Amino acid sequence: MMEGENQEEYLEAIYGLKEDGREATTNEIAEALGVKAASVTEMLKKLHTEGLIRHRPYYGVELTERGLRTAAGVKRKHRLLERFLYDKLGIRKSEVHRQACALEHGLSDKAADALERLLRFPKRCPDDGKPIPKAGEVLPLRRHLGELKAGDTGKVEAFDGGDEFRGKMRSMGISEGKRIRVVAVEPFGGPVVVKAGNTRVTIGRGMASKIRVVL
Amino acid sequence: MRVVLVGNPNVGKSSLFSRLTGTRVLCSNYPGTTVDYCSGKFRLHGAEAELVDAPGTYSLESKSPAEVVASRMVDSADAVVNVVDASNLERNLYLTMQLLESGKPLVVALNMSDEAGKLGVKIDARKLGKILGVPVVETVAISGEGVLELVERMPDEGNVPKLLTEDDKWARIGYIVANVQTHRESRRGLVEAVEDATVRPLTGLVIAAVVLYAVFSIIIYCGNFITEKVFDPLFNTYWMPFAKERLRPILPPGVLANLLFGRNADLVDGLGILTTGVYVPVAMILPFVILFYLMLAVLEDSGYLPRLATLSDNLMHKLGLHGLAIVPTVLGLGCRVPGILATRMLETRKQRFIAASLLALCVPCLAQNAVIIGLLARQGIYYVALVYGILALLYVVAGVILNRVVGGESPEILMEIPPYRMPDLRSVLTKTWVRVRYFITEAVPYIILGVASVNLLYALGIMDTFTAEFGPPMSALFGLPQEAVVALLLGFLRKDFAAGMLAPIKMTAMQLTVASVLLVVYAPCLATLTVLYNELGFWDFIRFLAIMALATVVTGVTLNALFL
Repeated sequence: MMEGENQEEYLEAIYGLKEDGREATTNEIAEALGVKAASVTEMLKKLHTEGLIRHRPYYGVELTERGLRTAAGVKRKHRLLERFLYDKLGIRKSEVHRQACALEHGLSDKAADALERLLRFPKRCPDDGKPIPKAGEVLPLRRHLGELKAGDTGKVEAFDGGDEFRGKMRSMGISEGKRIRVVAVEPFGGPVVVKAGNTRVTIGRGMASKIRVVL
Repeated sequence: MRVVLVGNPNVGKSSLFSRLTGTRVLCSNYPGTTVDYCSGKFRLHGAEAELVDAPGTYSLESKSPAEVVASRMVDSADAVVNVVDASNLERNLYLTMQLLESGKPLVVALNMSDEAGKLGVKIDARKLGKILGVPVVETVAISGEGVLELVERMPDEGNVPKLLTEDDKWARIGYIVANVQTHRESRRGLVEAVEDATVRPLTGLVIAAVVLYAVFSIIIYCGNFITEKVFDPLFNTYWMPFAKERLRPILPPGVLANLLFGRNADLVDGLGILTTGVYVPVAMILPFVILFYLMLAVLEDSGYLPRLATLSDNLMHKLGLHGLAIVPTVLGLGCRVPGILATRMLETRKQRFIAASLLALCVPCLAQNAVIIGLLARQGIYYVALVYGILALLYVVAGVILNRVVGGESPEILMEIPPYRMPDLRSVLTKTWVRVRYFITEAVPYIILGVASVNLLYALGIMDTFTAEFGPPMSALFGLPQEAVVALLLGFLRKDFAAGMLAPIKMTAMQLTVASVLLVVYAPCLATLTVLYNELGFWDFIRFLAIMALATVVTGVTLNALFL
């Protein structure tokens, strides 16, 4: 596999994990791609130097803005190809993913747009029903409060930490569906300050990482 | 009749409490916990009733000490006043739901309705009361508005409790808020911009530096003024001559006279129970303690402390602490005794141990600051900066090590940041008085006891033996002249006392620098040690002493190797 293709595969895998609301840790990525953890570590270093991902200690990696765009672009081609293989060529559902993986890297952006028109702008891929990103579109991924920047706003979606944690956050005014604004993010892994309604709360970064937010 | 005030933190509970009770207040430690609470008396339906101010809590689920205490207080109450912040109705109602389940007679004080109005929040109190099935009274505790009505409408009987599941409670809260509250979205104004700036990393640190500088300037300036202009003249002109000329001759000269009136005529050096024993706690410490607690109460009630805690959390977390530990540290820069008492605000034993140890090891109190600045400023600002630099480094290094070594939990910070509020004078004074009274009853007797015991150690010749035995090896170890080591050894009575002995000794600037650092590290003063013993308990206190001995030797030897 060529270096660039390999990179795209990794970005796609990270994107996929995030889409499922999972952490992109070395082990998770290795499992998703069926490779050794050591090779993942190696590649993550490269992606990091190229500014496509950033590390979040204990929580694996996050895609940077650029990484996210690249990953969404590849994912778009992948899912359009799946659609094409399934709808037009009649390939079996269980087959389309592997085929699309091989083809997606050679497809130009122009060809992808044409394919999309040909398929009459499909919304979801055939095998697992995930959304197909539009050209240049970055789908709102689920994010953790711990990775947002000062000034970001979003809606609390869910809590990862079990009922006790959920109860604690709720009783402090941070509940599902609540709109929040990130007031400040303290550097060096410090806490996050958010405003929910008329309440400001300082939340340690570890706890903040257990709060899922939709931007 | 016992009425308990229950509510979230920062909803104006203490203001309401001091409104209702006046100054006849008793504060103490809830049995078996580190949670402080206050109680007082007030008139209810023509009879005297007890009013208890429960610790601020978000729920009654017994997960934190404060919740446990609040929950037990509700159990023992005849009636409950639920103080609710009108500008945060949704969040506050969760506790209200739990209180309704207790079946106790309940009245809701919808407090800070004025502040809520400014934020564009309007609440239909009557409708809220109807849905909840309990009286709801709009109050502004700071001005006293609605407080009388609150007392009048305090019910005698509770409702039959309806038990709801967690999700049902939140569903009900959603229903209530939708029905009683109208919210006009207010624009982000200047106030909000300032509020945000004080927690943002860059602007926040600049503001924090200015605030702390101002606070300490006020304390040092006013404290010195009171000591020098009020107490020193009082003692020098009236008390000392009276004690020396009228009282002392009553006793035959000897150990007892020395014990009561001092080995010599010096106020600090004399070590008499009636001279030094009174002068040190009353004239030298008390003014600063009062000013500290006053400033602390202002910082607390204005809502600034949680912001300081937020800014320092990332550093503190690496030391096994969290942001709130900045409060004892800041206090300790003035006097370690209130600092160590303030470590109670931390949740776990591990955090309290680390915070108290670091405080006692590396945070110079006012007296030590005076030594450092007084002795070294003449040698150049470089040496002063060096001393503080070394101490700061030691704080971090010792903290990182203790975090590894000490077992236990270091929970992360989770803390509400209240909006800025004008401190309420009444509540500031009550808080200050309660704490000062605690200091007087808890710390002052030990200081006097300490003075007496050192006096006796001198009288029995133990002190001289001690310094003769320990002086030479320590001076070899730390590269300091033997007289300096003796001064350091004696400094555990009072650090400024050691300063007096260090000053005349001929030392190089570097030797003086090392001596100053060691003066801070090797032993807290007697008052601090006693408070530390009370707070930590026997075994942790022994552990602390071991850590202190180790830190002193390591620091002394390292500095000797590096600088001397």
